[in-house]
Amino acid sequence: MDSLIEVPRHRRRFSRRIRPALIAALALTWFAGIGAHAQESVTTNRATELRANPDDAAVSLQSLAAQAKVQVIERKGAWSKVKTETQTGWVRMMHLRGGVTLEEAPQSGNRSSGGGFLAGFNRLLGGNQQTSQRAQSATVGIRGLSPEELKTASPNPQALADMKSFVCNKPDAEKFAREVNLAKVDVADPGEAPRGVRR
Amino acid sequence: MKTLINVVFVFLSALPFAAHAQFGNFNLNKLTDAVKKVAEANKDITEPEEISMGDGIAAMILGATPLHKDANLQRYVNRVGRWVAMQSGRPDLPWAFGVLDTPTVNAFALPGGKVFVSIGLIARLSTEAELAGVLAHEVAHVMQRHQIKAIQSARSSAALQSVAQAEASQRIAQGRAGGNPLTGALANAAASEGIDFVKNGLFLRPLDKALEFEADRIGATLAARAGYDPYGLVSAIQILSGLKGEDSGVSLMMSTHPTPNERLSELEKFTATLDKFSTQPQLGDRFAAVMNAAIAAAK
Repeated sequence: MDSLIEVPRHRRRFSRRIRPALIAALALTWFAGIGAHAQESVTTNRATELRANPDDAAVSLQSLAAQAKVQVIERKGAWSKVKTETQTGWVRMMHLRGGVTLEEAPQSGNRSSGGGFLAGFNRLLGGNQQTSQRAQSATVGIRGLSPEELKTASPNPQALADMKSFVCNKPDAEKFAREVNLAKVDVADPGEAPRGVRR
Repeated sequence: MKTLINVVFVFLSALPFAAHAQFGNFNLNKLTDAVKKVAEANKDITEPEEISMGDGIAAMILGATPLHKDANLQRYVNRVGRWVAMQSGRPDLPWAFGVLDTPTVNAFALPGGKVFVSIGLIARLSTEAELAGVLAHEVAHVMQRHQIKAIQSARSSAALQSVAQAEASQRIAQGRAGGNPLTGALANAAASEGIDFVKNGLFLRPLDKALEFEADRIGATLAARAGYDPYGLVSAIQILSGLKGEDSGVSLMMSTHPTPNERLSELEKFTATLDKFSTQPQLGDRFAAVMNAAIAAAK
């Protein structure tokens, strides 16, 4: 796809438009203790090949050692497109561990593996903006989902009714799938295959 | 000899008092009660009870954390979730998916088909296939009745351990006899048991690791059946593997699940199946459109 061309554009947008939002997001997440800054870079978890195409049969561009650091720019099925210090190619996704650093998170994160929409995170937090203030006085945890807050909560039947107002019935779900040509596929549960029988 | 008989008689007549002193308020009625409670605790949980129990747990979670305000995002997550759930063994449950407005990174399933996912997790995703994978993992927990099995075993061990500690069973017995202060969807014994299940901390107990691995395997299968690239779930777990567990925003999720790396290694056993369907769509564009609209709407 066009991610290689997009990278510099992200960078520009990132520095000009997103920086104030990012600083706010980082401040917020710092107080909230989530630490987007705490994301680690992606490393190989075994010796593997950097290939020219997302295919085991494709030519190997480089042999990567275990624990080699790479930068993920795209994902395609079982493969991740990565940049090493010298080259760009494809590595089997299962041979990689770790998310993408925030600096690499594209704003319209539809082609990367990770990072997602963290750039818009502070806005996405909508009604929970008070988190930062609350978290300053709280010793542990984030509003709402800490064990203590769950245990001491009072049931909220109104919010439950609100949640139920958004449900989707079967015909709507089918229509939603058809809009993007998603169709049911016959897939056997691999865990149910009898021992020694190949599917 | 007569003296000896007298001594034995006195000893025997004193026994009930001794027993009373030793066991406090122990009496036959209490014992019968306890037996009833154990029987109650071991009763199979019916599907309507399971749904009500989920209502009770959901009401508690929503009492602690608000729903995200973006109605469009809520509907979108429900559509993806329902489409995935339709591929499961329980397509007709009243499936309801809720986005929680918290930076915490977490997703969880409740008995009866209610599923929550935090905006903190969604914001880290990039494609609909990743979201479908996360939701499919939760749908798999519901499909396999993992939580119900956990609740049932917590119930019976509580009932067996001690009569005094069998609070959950007692509540359900009381609830079945009436006397529940809550109204609407929560006005029943199972819903109040769900509420207690959160209050007493049992809800936060991790499921067995094997059940989490099973939910990953079935989740990837359901996502593939729904037409998505099953590597979406792999990608979502890989994103988790880049987060540090000691951050409080992910600590609850990390404490209730095997490590992301363990989960990836288990899923890798099914690479053959995953690969076969890996060219199915990821739908990054549809996901990005909803997310960008949510960011714009929040301005």
